[in-house]
Amino acid sequence: MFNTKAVGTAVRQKDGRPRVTGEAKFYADVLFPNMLQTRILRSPYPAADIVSIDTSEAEALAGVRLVMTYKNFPKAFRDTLYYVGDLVAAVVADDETICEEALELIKVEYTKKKFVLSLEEAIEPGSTQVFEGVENCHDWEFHYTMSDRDPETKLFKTKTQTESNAFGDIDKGFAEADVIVEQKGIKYAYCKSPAMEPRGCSANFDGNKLNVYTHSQGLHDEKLCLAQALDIDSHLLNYVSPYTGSSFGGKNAFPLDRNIASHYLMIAGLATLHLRKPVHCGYSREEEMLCGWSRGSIGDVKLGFKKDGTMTTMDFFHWQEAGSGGDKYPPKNAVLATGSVLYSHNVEHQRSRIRYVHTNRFCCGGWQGYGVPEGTYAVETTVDIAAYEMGIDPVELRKKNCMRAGDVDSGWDPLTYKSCYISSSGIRDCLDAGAKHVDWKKTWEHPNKKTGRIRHGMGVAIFAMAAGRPGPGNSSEAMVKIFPDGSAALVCAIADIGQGQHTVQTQIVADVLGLPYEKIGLVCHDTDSTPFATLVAGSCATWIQGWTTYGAAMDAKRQVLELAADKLNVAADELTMDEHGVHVTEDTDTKISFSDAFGTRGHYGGIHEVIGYHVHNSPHATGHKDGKADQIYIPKEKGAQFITMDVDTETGIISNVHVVMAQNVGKALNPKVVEGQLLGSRHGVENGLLANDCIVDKRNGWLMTPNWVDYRHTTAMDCDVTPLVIEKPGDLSHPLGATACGEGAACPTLASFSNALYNAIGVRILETPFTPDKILTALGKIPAKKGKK
Amino acid sequence: MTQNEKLTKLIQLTINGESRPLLVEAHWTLSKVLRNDCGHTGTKEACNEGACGSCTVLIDDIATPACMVLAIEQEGKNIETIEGLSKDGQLHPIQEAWLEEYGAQCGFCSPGMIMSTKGLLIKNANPTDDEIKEALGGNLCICSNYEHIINAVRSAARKMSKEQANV
Repeated sequence: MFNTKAVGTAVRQKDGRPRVTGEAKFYADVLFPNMLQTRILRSPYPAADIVSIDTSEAEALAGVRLVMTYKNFPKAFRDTLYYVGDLVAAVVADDETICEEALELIKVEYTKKKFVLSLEEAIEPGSTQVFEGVENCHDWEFHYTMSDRDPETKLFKTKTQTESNAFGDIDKGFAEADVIVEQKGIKYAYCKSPAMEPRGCSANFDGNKLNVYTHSQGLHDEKLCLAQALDIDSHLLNYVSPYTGSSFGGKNAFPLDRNIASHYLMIAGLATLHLRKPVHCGYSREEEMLCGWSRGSIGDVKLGFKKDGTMTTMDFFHWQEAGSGGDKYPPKNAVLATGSVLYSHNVEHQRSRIRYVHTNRFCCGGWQGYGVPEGTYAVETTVDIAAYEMGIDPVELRKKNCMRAGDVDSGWDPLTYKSCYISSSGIRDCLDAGAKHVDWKKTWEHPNKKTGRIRHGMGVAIFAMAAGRPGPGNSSEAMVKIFPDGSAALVCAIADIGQGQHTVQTQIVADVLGLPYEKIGLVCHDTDSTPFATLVAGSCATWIQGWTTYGAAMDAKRQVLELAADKLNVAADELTMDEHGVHVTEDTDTKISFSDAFGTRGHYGGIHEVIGYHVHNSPHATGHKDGKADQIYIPKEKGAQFITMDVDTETGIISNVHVVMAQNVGKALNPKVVEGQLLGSRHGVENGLLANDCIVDKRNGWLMTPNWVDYRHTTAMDCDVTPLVIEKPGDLSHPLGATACGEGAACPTLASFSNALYNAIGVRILETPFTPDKILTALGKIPAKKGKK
Repeated sequence: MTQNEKLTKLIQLTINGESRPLLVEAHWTLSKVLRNDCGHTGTKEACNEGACGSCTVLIDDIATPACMVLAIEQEGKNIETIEGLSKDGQLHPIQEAWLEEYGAQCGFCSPGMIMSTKGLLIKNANPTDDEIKEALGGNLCICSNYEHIINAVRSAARKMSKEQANV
């Protein structure tokens, strides 16, 4: 097809240089003259109604241009408040100091209401309702039972909407099981989506259109939503986002949903349209913590095994804290950690049920694993318990049961397909590689053999998560331009949020065209100059945009070869393109330069650029089993992770944490980029190690950890990560045999951390974070806290 | 304090070797002045409370979070920002090392990390891994790219020692 030169090598990052010189302009670095600033007045109460609001004094302050409340901007504000930090009003003024002064002049009278602040409380019957007249707990709306399995294809032919995701017969499964292992109440503490760059935007009306400068995971998705939310035609809005200072899903903007974290877009957009002046609205770190997407869950898992460790049955109950919204963008992916995918090889009977639980805190959303970290934590903890109970090596038990290529995926996208095939796995290879790296066979010991004050622990967990969102709505477009001087440009709005997509997509273009990587430019920074590109979420970009970019480059190349064929009087399929131009494949002397092929003569005549275009609608153009349209391969991100640590049984302090992350990436399009993604395994260590918990004052709902000192992220000092990039090229869902690699690395971390801790101390702690006091309590060294079980 | 009572002062700051006059308010932080008044937006602000290191600059060769010091107090000191590192389009060895080792993912922490690295290598041309980790302990990278970053610091130290030897 073509030679890979750029693909497979660690070429220089496409936009690496501006990132290390400070030239990269993140949205907040774009300063318009006379730009107005914004500050938001936020609710001090977890539940309240605004009885009256008087903004007259604030409006009278010199320098104040606009005060926004539910009265004049009902699209962005409301008079009922659901969490501490909910929007009350916003001040737009000449500078930040005036904004802050004006906030203090707004007089608000509230009626305080009863509130509920934790998942456990909200589950209790008769607990305070977050939304009056609406139960706090409700089922995910897309639960389906799969049935009527085709004996030949193994695919399910029928799906029925039910109260859980299920297949087989759960009761029969447990009745026939030799060993049943059950663990309830595995708690993932409520935590927040992280991002280095705080959220915000600057909007500017230039006389013709509204330009919004911001960060983005999907420029076009967000632009279309924002235009609709602002009630302006889409062509009037240009969404600009050349750089994004990391996101992990938390910056996905859905301005149409007022519960979701996109208030800055609505406030700046509305204010700019109203004032016709540039307006900046950005969040402080405290606002990030108050209003960042969250996760937090409790999982109950029950597993059925045959004597030899074959896992036949799985029952999984997942309570997800949805906060005051978020049920539209749920961590439904939690199901992927169950028998429907992660243990798809042997499980015949499964039931998994997700329930959303409203609380008076900010909403949950899809970020960094999109439910898989929570689901994996619950399932992989229970699988570990089962391994110890049955006396089977934790690595071997997983190898026996884990997902394999060609297994039937019944857990994802029941909306479009009844079921499909998993395109590749390699989890067993990852388990082998990781076990070898940590010398598992020689150094693993049962906890009851450990003595001494410092106990060494070793834990393992596996994971699988979906790549993208197959089905309608997950399309992407790209253009590839070839110029007469032999350079080219990829025109494509795919967002590079640090995951290296700008580099990887350009590598694909270079190799398809046969041009040097350095000759390929990139136009990606705004919606006006690019066609629609998919949201980069669920680690889908290499898959979906990879297909798109590949298609656009092939289309451009075809056109250039046809132009050359015409001039050389040969058939286009006899030609090859490289950096010197086009030549006959078998006769390098019969050749033509790009400018001659284009017929370019200075400014006049000929063709000045060839434009290739491709639109990709997943998964219709991905791999199909035996070419059959209804038998589709779907990629998964997957791998195995090992953690080793030392635990001081006198102080409860964990140290020397080492994470070994092994992941099958199919073909590594850029080895350094995928290695960097695997380093993301650190996320999860903070949930286990660093007291990463949004602690609220139970009396008033105030967040006690609204900063990076009290709510810590890992630094270079906290742990080491060894990335093991496992390449099993030839994933059937991708043109270059690659498979997804991204947020998956963070999915198994909490589980393997928890399993390593158990291996060290011989006691299970089922509630994160694993703070020294919990460890000492578990060891019986200090008494349990009052009010705790 | 209202708009009309702002206390401003004309000060002279030395930034990347150039002295410039600046009219500042007494409460403005150095990071705010660098970004808003000097156009040095390579100095990033992510927490404004000294907890993340993204605004790290060198003040008289000491790596310092620019959000934690007032601009008005920096007269007579040498302030170095990320913009001062490359000369005439030629990257500094630390920046070269960063590109080679993929030290940047999203790149938001990179300017601060690079300035902390320069501060370290001024004091200690041949740091151990533990010394590198300690020197970067105040710089968060939420992409959690630390292994690549540590490789970049090691590589930068080697490059700079070699340069020194060649002088």
